[in-house]
Amino acid sequence: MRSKPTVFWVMPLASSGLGCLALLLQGGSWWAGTVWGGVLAGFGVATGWVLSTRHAASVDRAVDAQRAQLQAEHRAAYQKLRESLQQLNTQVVPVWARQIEASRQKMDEAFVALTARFSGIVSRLNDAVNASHRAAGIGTNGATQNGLVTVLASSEERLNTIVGALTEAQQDKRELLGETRKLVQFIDELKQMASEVTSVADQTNLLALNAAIESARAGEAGRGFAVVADEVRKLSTRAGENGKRMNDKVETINRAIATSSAMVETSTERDTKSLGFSMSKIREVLDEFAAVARGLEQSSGILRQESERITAEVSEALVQLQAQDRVNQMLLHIQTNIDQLCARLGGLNGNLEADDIAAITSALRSSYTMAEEHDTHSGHQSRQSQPSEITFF
Amino acid sequence: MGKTVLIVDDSASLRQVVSIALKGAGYDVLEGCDGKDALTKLEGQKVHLIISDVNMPNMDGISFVKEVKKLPNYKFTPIIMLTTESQEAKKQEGQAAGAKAWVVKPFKPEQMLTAVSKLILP
Repeated sequence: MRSKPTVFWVMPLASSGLGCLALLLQGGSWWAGTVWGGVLAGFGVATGWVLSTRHAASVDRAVDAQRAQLQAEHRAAYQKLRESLQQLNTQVVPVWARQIEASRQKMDEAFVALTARFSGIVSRLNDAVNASHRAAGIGTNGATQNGLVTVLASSEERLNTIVGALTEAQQDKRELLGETRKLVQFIDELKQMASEVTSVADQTNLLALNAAIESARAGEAGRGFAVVADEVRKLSTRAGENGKRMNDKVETINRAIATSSAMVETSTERDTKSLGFSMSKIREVLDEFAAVARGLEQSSGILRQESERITAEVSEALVQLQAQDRVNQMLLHIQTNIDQLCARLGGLNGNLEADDIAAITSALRSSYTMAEEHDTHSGHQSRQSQPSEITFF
Repeated sequence: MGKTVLIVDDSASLRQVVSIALKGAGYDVLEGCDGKDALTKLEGQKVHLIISDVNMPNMDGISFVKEVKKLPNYKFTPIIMLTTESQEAKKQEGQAAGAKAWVVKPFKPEQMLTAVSKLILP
């Protein structure tokens, strides 16, 4: 029950008091003024009381009607909210969850494909670098092994061996030429000896002729001596003929040796030129190969440096590729929390109290495994994920 | 003969990332998508080191380590935990289960290779 407003009895009482005071001031009797004042005051208070009671009743009715209306509106709004929450739970939240799951799966598939491609690129790159190193004769540690450079060095060594053998053969030919030239001297001596034989034979023949003449003068006594002189003459003739033949043979040999010597000399000169030409060509070819090898080695050095840079880039890329795993886990935690919200909304038939929200928030926080999730939850700037040190137990 | 490493992680892309790093260093690689799957991969194989995630479906990493330690052939096989889990309590759980090292993702391949070469069985 509302208290009646003071104005409904204070105002009539004040106005009756003022009426009594006016009557007294106009010279009326004290008793009559008091009585009329009391009557007026009583009438005023009674009127005020009646009016205030009626007013209070009307206000109470209005308040009650307003309250009932408000309660009805509140119930309607609450029911609407519950229905909205139920719809959110049955229609919207599952869609969120499905979309997150689909996004996770698509991202996972894309990253698996991306990582597989990346793996293939890295593998082929390694194969190419290793093949190049093998071709240049450089091991994975940069040390020279069997390869073009080594093959060239080995080839040069073997070709030099051949050149050495050819030089030795040429030297032998020069010695042969020297020995042949010495033979020419002996031939001259032989020619002289043959001439001497011929000369001796001529003189012997002359002596034999003189002996024959003298034996003829001696007559019968010189007959035997004439026979000896004749035999000596025959021998000297034969000796002279042999001397001539010897001279002819020596001349033939001399010509043969001279021809042979000239041929050897020509051959030696040709061989010398040929050897010089061969050595020059071998040097040119080896120099060209060496230049190619140096270029290849240089390229291989550049390739090795690039390979080291690429390895560092690959390493960095492998760190970045791990982002998918972290994002996937973050989404999984949110998805799990959405499922928890759904279950709780379904279980409470749409009644979601402050305690329920606190429990769901707490469950989400406790599901975090990464520092950046806690940062994001608290509204702080998320820390950049950096590779951490390894803890050995 | 190359050394074999078993990688256990429910993320296929993460398994590939680890695999690229290890194969580049000449290791042979086996893969398992969770603890249970990995236990089947260990049968009839000679594995010289295991790298395992912690949070996985079917069988989590800590339980997997405990199961591995029960296997006579793998009692002394070194295990590296590779996880996003940064909580100290989880790390201690891993140590108690028998893991030899704890690596928080993301990892640097060269760091992982250093740990593998340091721990792998001869």
